Order: sequence, then C-alpha cells, then structure tokens
Amino acid sequence: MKRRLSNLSISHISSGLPERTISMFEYGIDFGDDEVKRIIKSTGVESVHMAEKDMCTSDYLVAIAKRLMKECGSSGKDFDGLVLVTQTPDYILPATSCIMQHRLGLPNSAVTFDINYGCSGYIYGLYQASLLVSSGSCKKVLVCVGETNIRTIHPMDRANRMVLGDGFSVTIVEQGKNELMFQIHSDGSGYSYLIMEAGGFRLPVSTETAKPVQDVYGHNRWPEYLYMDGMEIMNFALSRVPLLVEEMLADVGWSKEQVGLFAMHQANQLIIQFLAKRLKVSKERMPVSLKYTGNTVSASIPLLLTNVKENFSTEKLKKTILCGFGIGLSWGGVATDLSDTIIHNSWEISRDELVKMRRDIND
Amino acid sequence: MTNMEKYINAFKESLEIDDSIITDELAFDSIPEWDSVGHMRLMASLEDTFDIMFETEDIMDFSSLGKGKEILKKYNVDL
Repeated sequence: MKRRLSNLSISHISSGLPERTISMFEYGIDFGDDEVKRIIKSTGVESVHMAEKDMCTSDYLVAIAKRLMKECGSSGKDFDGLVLVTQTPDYILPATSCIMQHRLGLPNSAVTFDINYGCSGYIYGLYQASLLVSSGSCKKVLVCVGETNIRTIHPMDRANRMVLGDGFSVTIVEQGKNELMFQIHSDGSGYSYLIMEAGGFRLPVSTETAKPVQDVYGHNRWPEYLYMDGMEIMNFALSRVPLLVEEMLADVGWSKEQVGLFAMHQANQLIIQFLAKRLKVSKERMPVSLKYTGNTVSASIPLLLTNVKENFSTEKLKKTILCGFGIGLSWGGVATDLSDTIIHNSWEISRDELVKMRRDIND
Repeated sequence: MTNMEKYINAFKESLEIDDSIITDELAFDSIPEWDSVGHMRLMASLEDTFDIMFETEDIMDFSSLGKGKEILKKYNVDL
C-alpha cells in the first residue's frame, strides 16, 4: 500500500526510558562471560532499560504524554485521538488506549484504539494518526508507542534477552504544511518467525505450554514467551527493507543523496550495517543508536531520533525516511520533512514518579 | 595471505573458534558459536575480507564451510 497524505505535521516527539538498567555483562552468570562478549560484538547492545515489575506500558506512556503536554502548554482536552501501538497492553481486555484516554483527560468524543504491532509499529501508528487527521476526523492525535518487552522473554532465551529493551515514546500528529508519503506492507506467511504462541485463544496457557518445545533447529523455545527465528528475520529484513527504501525514494521523487537521515528500526547493529551497505548509504546518514537501549521494538525509531537529533541540522531533516520492519511479518516506511518537528530530550522515568503520577490521577 | 587463509581466518575471528574444529563439514548450528548471531558476523567479515556483497539467498544458503567455498566462486573469489 502506498499513500501520500498532505496538510499534516509531526509536531512533537518525546521519548522516555525506565530508570532501571541492566548491563548485558550481568548475563555472564547465565550464559558465560565469553558468550556475552561475543553477542555484544554483533548486536552492539551493552545495556538496556527495564520497566518496573509493577508498572505497565500505559504508566510509562501516560507519564511521557503528561510531560509533553506540559512542555507544549496543552492538556488532554486539546486532543481528539489517541493511537496506542504496543504488544504489551495493560490487559487483554479492554483496550489500553481507552484507559489512557481517561488517565490523560482526553474528551469522551476522542477516538482511541490499540494496534498490536511491534518493530514496524511506529510507522503503522503514524499512518493511522495521519489518516485520522487528513480525513478531518481529528485535529490532534497522540501516537503512543512502547513495550515492556523484557517480561515477554524467557530467562534462558539468550538471543532475545541480550538485545531487547523496554522503551516508550509519544508523538503528536496534527494539521500542518507537510506531506507524508507512506508505504505499508504485510506478509503473514512468516507469522511464526516472531511469535508468542501461547496465551491467546488458539493455544491457551496450560501446563503443557509451560514446558519448552523444540524449534526447527532443535533448540528449546518456550511457547508462553517471545520466540524469534533469527535467520528467517535476517532473511526477511535483507530481502524486504532495501527494496522498500528504493521504492519510497522513487515514489517521493528524492535521490538517495538528497536524504539527510535514514531512521531505521534499531533491530541490531549488524542488521543496520548490512542495510546501509546494501543501500550504499553512509553510516552517518543511517545511524545506529542502541548501545544503551537495545532494540526497543515500536519505540526504537522515535528513540533513535531523540538520541541522534544533535547530529542532524534542520536542513538535513527536511528529507527524512523512517523505516520499520518486524513481527507479522510487516514492514513500512514514511518519507517526510521533520525539520519543524520538536524532538524533546528523552528522560529516565523513576518508579517514584510513576507512583506519584498514579496517585495524582487517583488511579 | 592466500584467499583460503583469509577465508579460514574469517571463520576463526568472527565465530571466535580455533583451528581444531575447522573442516569443510563445520556447519551452521553445529557449534554454539555459529548461531544466527555468529552467522551475521561471519557474513559481514567475509564481505569485508573479499570486498563483495552477498545476495540474500546466498546468506541463507551459506550452511557450512564447504558450501561457502562454492558460494564464493559466484563472486569470483578463487580459493
């Protein structure tokens, strides 16, 4: 699907991370120090942030949204839409976006919904918000993305445990002067390559799903936890993403050299380097920024923008490509002008702040 | 250093293994070091070593040290 949407603005991006961090070297106890060092060389991840056990996705996102509103001089009443992209909602039912509407003080007339996507999710969220605004349904929409990923990973799942981290971000999409050129794709034939198999209605949690089973390579995997077939995901990323970027450039009419920033989903260091090489784009224009955050799934693109904003002038951000890819399988991108976007500094959110926030809103 | 020596060296350095297990039969997933993470590093190392860029299907087909020799021929790397 390709779609050019006009008269829009990605006006603000604000990101946050749980205060608590885990060094990958702590995993030497479980996996051995040499193994940890070997994996760090490939993934580029040295530490990640981890959500507090008693806090959920909406707690972090409401904190970020409240701070963003304060910094913008706005309040919940100014928003008439909220799109939440997460794989770790507070409850199976109801939609967490509904709970966030209440907690943020959005009017009852606001449209809110959850989108269950991961690493491509920021693009899906921007697309949905842009449709709401460009159709005239909404004037100002909050796009909330983020996950409490770490609690979806089995303690002995070495590959996922050493790359995924928790992170959150809130973006405001409203009426403006910019165009956003979207491409969105999905291919469910690869659904089993990234999956949390048990816990839904096809395979409810049971004593059986608590036991490990063998994957196609003969390794243990745990149906109640996230599973990733690393080889197939690498195949998917290298097959689909370069083509997606080339098509987006053709659609929007930009040469590769004109693009100031390629903001890619931060899967891991080597995948980004492979993509940059295949697209013949310098590492300066396709940055890697996950050393202290890991792969934060749907929040990785806005967190990247936050982390690298000082390196990119307003001029460079006039032609920006954002690109996500992952679970579904799904992939997508948007080409747009971010030169007027206010990218706020990220902050570390303490448990005390969250407790106080919840108390203040009588939650 | 000959191309064959460079090829073997790429395995040793990217997978962090020693000579004793280097044979044509050394295969993906046959040792803990050659998992998907190790495979990415190996492919990156071979691309840098021989100044080539693998097609994605060759990255997936690169299932053993012996098979890799066949694949490199496609890229005019004579071992």
